Amino acid sequence: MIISERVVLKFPKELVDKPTISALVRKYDIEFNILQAQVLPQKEGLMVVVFTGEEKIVKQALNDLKNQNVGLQRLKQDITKDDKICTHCGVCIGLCPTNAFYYDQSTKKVIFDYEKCITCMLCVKGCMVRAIKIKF
Amino acid sequence: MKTIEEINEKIKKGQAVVVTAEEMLEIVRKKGESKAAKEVDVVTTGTFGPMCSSSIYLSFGHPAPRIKIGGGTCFLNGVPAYAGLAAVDVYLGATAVPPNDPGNLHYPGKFSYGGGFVIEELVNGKQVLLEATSYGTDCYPRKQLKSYFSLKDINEAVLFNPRNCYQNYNVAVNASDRMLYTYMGILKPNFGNANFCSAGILSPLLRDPEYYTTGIGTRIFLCGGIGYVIWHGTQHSPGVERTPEGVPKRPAGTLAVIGDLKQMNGDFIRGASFVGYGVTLVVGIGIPIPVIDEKVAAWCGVPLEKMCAPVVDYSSSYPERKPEVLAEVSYAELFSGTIKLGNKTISVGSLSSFLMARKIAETLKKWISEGKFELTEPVAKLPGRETGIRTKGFEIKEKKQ
Repeated sequence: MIISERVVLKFPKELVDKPTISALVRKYDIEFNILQAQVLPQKEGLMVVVFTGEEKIVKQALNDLKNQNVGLQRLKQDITKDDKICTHCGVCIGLCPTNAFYYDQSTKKVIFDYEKCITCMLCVKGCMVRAIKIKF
Repeated sequence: MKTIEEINEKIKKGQAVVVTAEEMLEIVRKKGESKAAKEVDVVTTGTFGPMCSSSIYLSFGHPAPRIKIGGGTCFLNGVPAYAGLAAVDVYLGATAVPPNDPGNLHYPGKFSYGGGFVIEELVNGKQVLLEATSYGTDCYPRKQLKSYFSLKDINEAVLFNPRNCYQNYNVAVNASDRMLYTYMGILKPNFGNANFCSAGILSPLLRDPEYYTTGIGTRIFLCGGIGYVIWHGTQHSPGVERTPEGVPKRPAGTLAVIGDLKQMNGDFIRGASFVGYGVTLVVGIGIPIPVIDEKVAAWCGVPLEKMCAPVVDYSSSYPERKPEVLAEVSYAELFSGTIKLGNKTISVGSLSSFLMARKIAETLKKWISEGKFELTEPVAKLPGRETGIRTKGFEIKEKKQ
């Protein structure tokens, strides 16, 4: 089965100047799409990547990264909409490119579907009461 | 025909039939306006959206020795308040930002703090830092004042909003090829999204489109407390084009409102930031509509399909103050989640919370049903369409010779 896995990768200082991702896709038959990257010399690097490929192979590749000492977190755990802060206006609904936000039609609450999120960050910027937060 | 006095008698006895505007639409649809007008006494409306022309004035009480902040300077949590009033009265607007805010220097600016947030914190009972300076006089010798205070420590705190409750508003889109950061939210390039701001069938002035029952002196729900309509709002523009039912097709009427900040509830008044634009205040207002006759019921029965808003390009028409409207779209389309512009389907976002508007209309319904809130006869009418008044632009002029 082909799967897409969205992960936040944290590269320790000593790995920042190495072509880790390039080496990984040469070794395993997977595709990658970088959503966010912050890589500075002599500093911890951060990257949000979607790996797509055969489930077994993607898992092997992720394990390989872990063994190289790359910090690895599934992305969906890092995105939150705080319903205590949210006013359920729905400005995020129009912004989201993947329809990860929608109204519950009876209650008119704005629901966030983590599975559809690609962390483009538009909702984080667009939320006027700052109810949406992304933590890496 | 019913008078407001008769409706108030029923409210006192707990016999008034009170429904929300959402419920009234169904009642009118099923039973017709004449039956609906007989059965229902009061319709409650609600709206909850960012309203920049909002502010507070505070009167602190006098410290010993006294200070004359008037004519000096005043900051509340670092946000400048207007100090051109009497000794200890100051005025704070929702959009004020601290002098050291970088603005849009690093575009788009974050505008993470400002007047709207100070107001929200005060309502939530939090302490706010007051820093004032003055030149000192014989009667007011103190030159500096630095103290924390919360609402309970000071004499008066009043929410005073020169323009709220816009009757109808633009649908904002972006025809350019770059992202725009506006007071209508983030607008993606090439018509990437459309933002509107209305509670639709719950919106107070869309349900009373000719200002038939709402006027100066009308008692309202204001941010969880009781407030009053005190004037027409700034930019009140009743003379715009209307539908056969009398509903404006463009931004039209507005209200100036006032209320005791100390009574308010933080759920219904929120500070807000628009990236690249600034700070504002999200205000919750509910207006009761006495069903004095069939006309009132008829307006409450106008469906979303028969109300429309203008689509405006915020990359050129709006900033350049050009009158062009790209299209008119119905509120039924806007609430469906997408609008069609030519052959393009655009995803719609809302700045106004329907969930909160509903909560406000339901809260007001409860207050009236329980006899805690009586209706008022307007002291004077708001300027209506017969005045022909339309808000005008500002023309830049040279000094007259």
